[in-house]
This record gives sequence, structure tokens and C-alpha cells, in this order.
Amino acid sequence: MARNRRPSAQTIAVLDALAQHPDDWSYGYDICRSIGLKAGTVYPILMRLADQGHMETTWETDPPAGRPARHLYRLSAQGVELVASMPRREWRTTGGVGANPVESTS
Amino acid sequence: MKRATLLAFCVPVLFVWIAFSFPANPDPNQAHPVIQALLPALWFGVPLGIASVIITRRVVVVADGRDFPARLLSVTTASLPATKVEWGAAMRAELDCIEDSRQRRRFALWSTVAAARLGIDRRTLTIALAAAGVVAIGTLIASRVTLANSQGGVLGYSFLGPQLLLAFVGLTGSARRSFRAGVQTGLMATGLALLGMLAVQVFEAGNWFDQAGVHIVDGDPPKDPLTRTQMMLDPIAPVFVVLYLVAWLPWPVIGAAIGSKGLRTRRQIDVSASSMV
Repeated sequence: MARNRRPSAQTIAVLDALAQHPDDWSYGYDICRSIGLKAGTVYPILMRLADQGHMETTWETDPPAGRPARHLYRLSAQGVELVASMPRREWRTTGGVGANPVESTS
Repeated sequence: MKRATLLAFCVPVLFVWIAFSFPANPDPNQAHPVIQALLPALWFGVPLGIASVIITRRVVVVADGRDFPARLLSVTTASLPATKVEWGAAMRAELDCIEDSRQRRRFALWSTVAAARLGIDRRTLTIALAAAGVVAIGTLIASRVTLANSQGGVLGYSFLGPQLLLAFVGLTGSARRSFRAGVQTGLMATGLALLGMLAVQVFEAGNWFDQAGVHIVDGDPPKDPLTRTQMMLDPIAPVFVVLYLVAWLPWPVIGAAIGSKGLRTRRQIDVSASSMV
């Protein structure tokens, strides 16, 4: 049975970063930098969000010459719904994350 | 490769030999400490050397990239389960896009932390917990049997029983999966087994103190008067913890190597059989 736990502050921060540009694709390092979390925290969250269907993933199709294709991420329709269903106060209680999502979203 | 293999074997063996050559209280009536350290060097050092060779050979094969961060990440994302291969490639591709060397090191290091956890699933945890339980129960039995028969402490069991079990855990963890899965299962089992064994030893040390006034580890009475609490804390002295880790850690690696070798052989047989059909 799937557990329906409240997302952690870090997961909320990642969702917030993705929700800022729901139609655009983001890449891992960019997300790490924008929310001030380390790759060791962000990648497991991205994997979990993708497994749960909250996030879509794809590979860059036309990378610039000399640079490998990046793995890209954006919220799925289910992910957009999840973010919309979260009370706004959730965003304000994300203590401990490098960049406060409240400030980044306002 | 030959030089790397030789160094990977000799350095741990020599390290253990040197470490045992300087006992805290050398006995002048016995052979020179360097000679006495030969047996521990063989007992602890050789398995450590073999495990070091196994790891080194695999690292040399899979390490790939323009600098240390790239090679580190290529090693830690090697042999991922099929469902996680894409994420290993994602982290490597992301690292390739970072130019600043400090940022590359940080990203590779933290991605390594994420990659180390990839593939740990319920089966891994179940095997590791079961192994820890067996080691803890074995410690309790060894403690009661040796205390009842005045056969010394639990040191003998601690350096014999868990190694065999952890080798089996490494072998079981890699069966039908990969060397990586075997090592992950084995290392988790080693950590949990150590905690389980030490918890039982601390509890039982009080029992040994009450009944015989001796150390649980070797069954000898303390040289200086110690309180019950001090006797209970004796088994978790750092020297014992380090010794257990040195003695135990090589075995899951050796077991995983044997298990994954069997896996490769089976796959080759399957490929040969299907090509004949």
C-alpha cells in the first residue's frame, strides 16, 4: 500500500523550484543551485518524484557541441496538482532549506 | 594492472603487520613482537588484501573520465540496477556540464552519496537485518556457553562466526543481481551486525561481571579494579570496534565477488544455450 506522507521541507523546495516554471525543463545542477541543496539530497528527491509520477523526465535532444545531453525535469500534471493542493503555509514552514521557497516564490 | 594488484594486496597486509608489531604491553618472555604479529597479519591482513585487490580491479575497470570527480562518479554509478541506470547517467551528464573544478568536486562528492544509496531495497534491508539478528543471537549463545564453561570470552566467536556469515550475505546479496548489490547488502549487514553484537556484549558484560568478575571479551579478570559500568563499556572500546571492522569488512566483498562470478558464469551458460537453440 502506497504511503501518503507529508512532503519534507526539501521535497517542497524542489517542487517549488520546478513549479516556478512548470512548462520549462530544468536540470539537476540548476535545481541544486536555485534552492541551495546538495546533489546528494536533490537527486533522491527527483527520483522519488519521478517514481510517484509527480515529475516528467527526458533527455536533452540537441545539446550544444562538446557537451553531453542533460537529463531534464519538469512537473507532470499530477505534480502541478500536488503543488496546487498544498496549503500556502506549507511553503512558509520550509526551515533549513538554503534558499527559503517563500522568498523565491514571492 | 599487475602493479596496482600487487600494491592493493601488499599495502593492507603490511599495514596490519606493522600495526600488530607494536603491542601496548610487549611480553619480554615471548618472541619478538614483529614475529608475533605474523599470525594476525595473515589472519586479518590477507582477507583485507584480497578484498582490496577485488575492489581495486573493479575500480580500474569502471573508472572513466577526465578528472577525479568524473572517475569517482563513474565508479559509484557503475552496475546500478536497470531501474536506476538512467539516474546514474543523469548525474554523470550533469557533472560533465560543470566546468568549475571546485563545483565539480562538490557535485561529484554529493552525487556519490546519492548513488551509494541507489539499489538499496527491501531485500537488501531484510538480508542485512536477518544477518545482524543471527550475529546478535550467536553472541548471546557464545557468551552463555563460554561463561558457563569458563572457556574464555567471546573473542573467538567475534573473529570467526560473523566473517563466515557476512561472506554468505555478500554472496546472497549478489546472487541474481550484481557485485554492487552484494557489497551494499554486505556492508549494511556488517554495520547492523556490529551494532547488534556490541549491544549484546555490553548487556552480557554486566552478567559476566556479576557472575565471575571477568571481562566478557577474553574471560580474564581486570588488571585494575573496575566498576560494573566500566566493565560493560569495555567491549565498545574503539580498539575493539576497529579490529572488528578490519576483520569483518573484507568478507562481504569476497562473498559478493564469488556470487557475481557465479552470476557471470550462469549468464554465459544461458547465452551459449540460447545461441545453440
